[in-house]
Amino acid sequence: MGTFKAAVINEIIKIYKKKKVIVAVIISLFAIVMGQLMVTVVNTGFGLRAVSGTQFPILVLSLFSRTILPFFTTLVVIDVFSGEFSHNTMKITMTRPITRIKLFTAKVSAVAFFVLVNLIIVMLLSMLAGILFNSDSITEMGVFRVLLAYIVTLIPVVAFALIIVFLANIFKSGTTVFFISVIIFIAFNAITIAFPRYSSLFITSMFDWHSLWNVNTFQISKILREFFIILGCAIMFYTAGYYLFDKRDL
Amino acid sequence: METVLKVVGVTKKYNNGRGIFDINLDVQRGDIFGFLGPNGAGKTTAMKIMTGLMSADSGDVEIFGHSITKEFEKAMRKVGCIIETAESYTYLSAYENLKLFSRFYDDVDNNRIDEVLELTGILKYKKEKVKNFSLGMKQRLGIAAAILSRPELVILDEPLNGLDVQGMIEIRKLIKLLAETEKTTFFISSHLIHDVELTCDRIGILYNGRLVNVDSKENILKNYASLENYYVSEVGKNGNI
Amino acid sequence: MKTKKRLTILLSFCLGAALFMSTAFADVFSKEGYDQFKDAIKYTCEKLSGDYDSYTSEVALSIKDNDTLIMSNAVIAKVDMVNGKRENISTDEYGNGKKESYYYYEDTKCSIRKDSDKDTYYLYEYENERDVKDISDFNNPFEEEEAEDIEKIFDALIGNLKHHVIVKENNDGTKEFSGTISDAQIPALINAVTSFFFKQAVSGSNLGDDEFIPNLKDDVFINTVSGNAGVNNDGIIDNLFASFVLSGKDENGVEHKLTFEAVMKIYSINSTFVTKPDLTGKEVEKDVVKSDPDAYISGKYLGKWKSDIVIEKHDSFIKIGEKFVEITAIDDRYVYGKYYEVYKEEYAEYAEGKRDFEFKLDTEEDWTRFEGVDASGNPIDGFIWFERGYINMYINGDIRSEEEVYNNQFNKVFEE
Repeated sequence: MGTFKAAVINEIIKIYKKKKVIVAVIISLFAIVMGQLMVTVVNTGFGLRAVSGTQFPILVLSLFSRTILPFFTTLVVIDVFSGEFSHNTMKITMTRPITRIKLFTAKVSAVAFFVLVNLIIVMLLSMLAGILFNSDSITEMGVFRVLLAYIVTLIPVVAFALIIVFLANIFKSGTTVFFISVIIFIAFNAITIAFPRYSSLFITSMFDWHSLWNVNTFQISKILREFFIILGCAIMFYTAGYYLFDKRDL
Repeated sequence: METVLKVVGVTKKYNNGRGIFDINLDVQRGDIFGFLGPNGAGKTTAMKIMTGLMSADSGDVEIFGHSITKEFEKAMRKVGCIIETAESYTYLSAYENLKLFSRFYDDVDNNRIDEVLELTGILKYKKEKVKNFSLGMKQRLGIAAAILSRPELVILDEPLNGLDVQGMIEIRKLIKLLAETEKTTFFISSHLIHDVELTCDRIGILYNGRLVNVDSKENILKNYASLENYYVSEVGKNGNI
Repeated sequence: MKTKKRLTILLSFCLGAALFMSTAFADVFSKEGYDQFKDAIKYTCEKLSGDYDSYTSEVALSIKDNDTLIMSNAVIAKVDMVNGKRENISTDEYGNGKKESYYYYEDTKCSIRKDSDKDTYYLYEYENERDVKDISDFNNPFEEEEAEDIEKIFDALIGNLKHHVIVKENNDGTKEFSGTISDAQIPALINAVTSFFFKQAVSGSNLGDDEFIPNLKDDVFINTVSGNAGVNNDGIIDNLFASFVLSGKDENGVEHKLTFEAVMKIYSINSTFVTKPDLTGKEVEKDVVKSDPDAYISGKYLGKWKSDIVIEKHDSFIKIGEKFVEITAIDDRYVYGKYYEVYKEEYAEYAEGKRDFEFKLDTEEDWTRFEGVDASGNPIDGFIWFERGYINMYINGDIRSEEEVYNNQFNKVFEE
């Protein structure tokens, strides 16, 4: 387990040292500030209070989880896999005493960690914005709901990341992977809109499954079903991705 | 004598018909093994298979008695290597690069990192980003990374690439020093006969994907005036030069 | 070793694929509470629109401001579809304690009304007996053409809110639906649009009898939406409760919580009897209702109808010709006629695009619309209304000269 932990730490450090993370945080921050400004303008302009202190982070999440988050997750996955293959740096880790399954899992874990940290940062920033601008409606329950909504979003986004991991192990060029990912993302969303009935077949429709958790009475069967869909998708692409990663001759 | 590296019947054929064929090889503890062959002979392919970067069509490699395909971690625990080119993460500093690798081993601390940087002569560039390094500095950093964990076997693919004369002399000295003081075993590939003659004590010649002969430098120099003569004669036996 | 590893990988992949496919398809074909509720509503409408002989329904609506009643309205309706009878008792209650009720009875022969503040019964006897269907027919809204599209749009708007509908199935075959959404769960956009709509359209409006809905100015938002409904063994919704709470501040900064509530019940299915009130000895004002002549196009419309073609020139109206509609025949379903224009000789330049065509009107279909073919074979269509004493006609794609003062009213031409 020692080498696995080492690999996870290394992968996280490598992601962190790239400028992308900083860019992701800045863009998120910018989006939050813009969002809050817009909400404030709408509220005061129309005399409404459509977005309360704890509603704001949820509003931010439902937009963030479908745009900035998958975008940066895709970029990070491409860096972690395609980037290292193309810069020839994959071999310097692969010749260390760590098996490929551990290395692969460590890389996926690091991506998951990136998603989690990104979610937490956005959650804290949006909560702060929500509190600053609408101090009147913060409740413990509200905070708990926000926390839950952000944490559960990790699961479908990581499953989506595993699809990109799979692609990054098929195609050599990071640009190819990026464009195919974008096409898949758009296609999935388009199909979901055109045939809402079959939305469960497309993982991108699960990005807002946090709304299933933001209810007064949990629909356990629905939550479990969606969870198993995400899990099934994750297992499939994790295995396929690992198979390619393991088989690869450098 | 303990066999450190054992290559048994390794064959790897590429689609273009080239590759390596039925390579059998033993490297003993304390050897500085020179893997000599022209460009394209299959040296890098053989070394990639030895270090698990590539899978062989048939045959196996054992390092310290552990199969590289079945017990990768055990086999690689006491191995350091540079394969094909010395690479490093260019967006990190020399220190940060070595720090990453150090995490895979139990007994590598910051002092050891400084030590290998000193040994390879780049300690003063410790904090500098690798993207500003020259080719020679990158090569030195690669060697530092390879010997970081005090490996008992060091596999180096063309280690003197990109080094100036001074660098070559220093690195050669370093290899000899480690072989003497720490009893480190080296497996070094090169296409430069002179270079192999100066550094190595056992020599294997790879030609057109086949291992032509393996002998000690002593034996060779007993029968031939120079390594070059030996090389020409051995390759000549195999038909063409 | 290698084969074992490959087998593990293959097994793991298949496990993932099986898990994904099975749950995904289960999800596609499963019905959430929201879908089940929609089905129940559709089924209820279908049943009420034809399957039952009679039923009693109760609908009550109320608006409260911080728990004090502003106004409520309750309607108890008894419907006998077999005999074509219905009875409505509607009661309004105001915050000031005033109560008003209104009684209405209707069958194929007459209708009777009475207000609670008067003792008089108003009796309207029909000249022609009406059809049973006209009285008790409940049109199933889901059979309308647009229903499916509207449903889709509604589904899209509801979006993830549908997860809030909980269904509980009881052992006796009945079902209970329930759901509560508070402000933090309502998507901001829906909350904003709805709040704004309420603020503009509802707040400050007069409900009658000097009862006003407080005029909310600031901080308006949907506080809670909740509801529950029960489905009986027959599959129809026999009780429903819905509540909608809107919060906000008025001009003086006073906080208001407006509660809109609706209750609906359906009971005595197939066992509701509607009895005509006994008016003997009561104060009755009687009137006979003649069959509405306008609803029915009869032979009196046959003949020529005329309208002047007028232009405006040098600040005066000048008649340049006449347009005619001639109704040539009327049968059970169709009205036949022709249209033509006649221009005065001195204004012949206007006569260039002169129209002359025959048309046929389907009174059962879309009865105001006509189609015809003009002299040069081009299709022509428009709308025609039979008003009392004149005809209104509008032709699509009408190209008039700029000076023309358009008048689409045709008056009957009497032969003298």
